[in-house]
Amino acid sequence: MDWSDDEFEAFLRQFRPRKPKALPTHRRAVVALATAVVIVVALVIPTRFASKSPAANDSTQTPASTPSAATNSGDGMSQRRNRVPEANATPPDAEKGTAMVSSSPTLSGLRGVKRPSPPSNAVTAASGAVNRRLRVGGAVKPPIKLVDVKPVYPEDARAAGIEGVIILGIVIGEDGSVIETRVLRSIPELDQAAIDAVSQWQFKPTLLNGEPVEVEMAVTINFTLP
Amino acid sequence: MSRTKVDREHVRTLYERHSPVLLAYALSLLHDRAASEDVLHQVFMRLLQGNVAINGPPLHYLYRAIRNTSLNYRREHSRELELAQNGHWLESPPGMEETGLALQSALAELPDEQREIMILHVWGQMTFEEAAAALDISSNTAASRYRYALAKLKERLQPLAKE
Repeated sequence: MDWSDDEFEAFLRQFRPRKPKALPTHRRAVVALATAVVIVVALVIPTRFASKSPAANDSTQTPASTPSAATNSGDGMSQRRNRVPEANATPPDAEKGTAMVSSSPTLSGLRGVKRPSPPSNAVTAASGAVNRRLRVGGAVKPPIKLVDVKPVYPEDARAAGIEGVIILGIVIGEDGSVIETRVLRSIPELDQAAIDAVSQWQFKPTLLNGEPVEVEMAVTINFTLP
Repeated sequence: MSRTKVDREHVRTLYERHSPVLLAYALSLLHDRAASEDVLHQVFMRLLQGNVAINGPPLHYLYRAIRNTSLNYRREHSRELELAQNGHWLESPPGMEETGLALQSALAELPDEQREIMILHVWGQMTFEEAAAALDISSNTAASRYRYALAKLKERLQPLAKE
């Protein structure tokens, strides 16, 4: 005798997908909260002690150690943040190793990445804002690339077997040249090679109401070793 | 099309409710638990950082994001993944461990596109219309892929389950 589809589905549902670990952000939020508390405590306690007994040196000793701990952890965080965009690998010539390049404005992770400039769209650009800049996505298609330069695979990275995907946020100027690059997803050893190549790209200028405008988009550069 | 941003609380709720099935989906593509959890967390971290504007229902976006991120991962790390193969993603009820293993290997033998519709419809409890929207296919395609997959699984599992 055969099972009906519903019976069989019910049978399948007895097997349950396993639960994953909690999101790491929970922990990060706790760390951030803890840091905030330490900083507040560090700021509040000395002033309290100072107002109560300005002459007592002993009492200020303990709180004095707390702010340094707080600033240390703060420095650690900013160092971690700064580490990513720093790229120092100089790209000597390399024949082996390929670097595949593709511009993928639809890449989900890149939409709406925070930019220094205010969010601009067709409307603000058309209204004559100083910063005439479109962002690729939705109705705005990526501009056509006229000059393509392949990245040179850095020797060090190749020797170390480092490969992966770099994502750059670029701004294409009114003349079609790349006027700004920002690393959105970094592999420190490969960033500079990617930036060097992408900076040489030329695009067909994008026109809005007949006038050239700047265009922001994301490009992914895929470094793969054979 | 309107684009929405998902607030943090909503992201948490989505995670609580859907992460097991999303993880199962990633596992079905990667067969490696650690890699799949990485992919799952990457997708949710992007949401939490608020950098993502979403078209349509967030859950549909999540399934697409899991698939794309998993496939990217699979492409970049194919060598490591071949070695891993430790992706048991279903928990069997007591006494049915053997059937669970058979089910998992039967699922693994399905083509990706049939397996994903299975996961979304059976464990994700999505209708064909919803699953089709999430996977960017027509609902007829979703339904027919599902029928094929279901037939294959039945064929494999019915003898075991009816024992």
